[in-house]
Amino acid sequence: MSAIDVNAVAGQAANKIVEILTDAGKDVAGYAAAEGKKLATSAAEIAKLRAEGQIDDEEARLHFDIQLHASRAVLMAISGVSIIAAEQAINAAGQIILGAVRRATGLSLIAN
Amino acid sequence: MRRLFHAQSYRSSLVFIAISLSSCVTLMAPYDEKIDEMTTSLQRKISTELESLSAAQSPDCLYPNHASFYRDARVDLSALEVRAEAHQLNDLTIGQIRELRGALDDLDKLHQHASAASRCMQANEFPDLQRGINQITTAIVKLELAKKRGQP
Repeated sequence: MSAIDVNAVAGQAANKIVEILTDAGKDVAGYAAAEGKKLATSAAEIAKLRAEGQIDDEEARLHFDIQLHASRAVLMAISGVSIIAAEQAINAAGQIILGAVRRATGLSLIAN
Repeated sequence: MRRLFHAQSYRSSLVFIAISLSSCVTLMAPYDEKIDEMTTSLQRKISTELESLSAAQSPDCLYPNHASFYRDARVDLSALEVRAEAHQLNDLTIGQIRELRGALDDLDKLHQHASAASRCMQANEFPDLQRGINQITTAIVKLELAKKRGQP
């Protein structure tokens, strides 16, 4: 049985976690920016329709409510994508640690 | 002696972590092709209705002539929700489907409100409605596709 270089393995695992979360962060940031712009555009349009008298207060409230539903759905997608990224990061780091243990001990701990 | 103890302790910890991670961690439900398809189909149905409504004149645009659309869309939403609820760790997708239901309810009320005054909804209202519905359906599909986790 050979020794496990804990610092090296921990460093590799941490790097993998950072790599995956950074990639996911870029994806999420791009999506959030695009959707945030659409929501702001809609809010401005609804306010304009109300100011011009094309819709009444009740209609404006319902239009805003639809945009709030949209905002929440977008935030849930962002939250979900982030959770999946965390899951992938944990599993990728786990594979690195398992590989190190297997090389050091000869034990295969990977379950399918 | 102490150094040897620490080295063994570190190695034991690593082996413990390895055993803990020996099966993959799952924090989210798996990808469901049906949810993807049903959401896309519902988006198309709502989009078609909005297109038709935005071009319709009174009395064709009035709510009673479109009540069947709302019934059909709610049936589709229920089927979608049941499908999502069949998976564990799927609260976010279920929440998104409920947001879509809320938006459809608001659209229904807007339509009834205009029809109660015997008028069509304003043409200028439709771009925001379409954008809002598209954002919700896109968000549902976006999350569903992310569940593929890199698989084709």
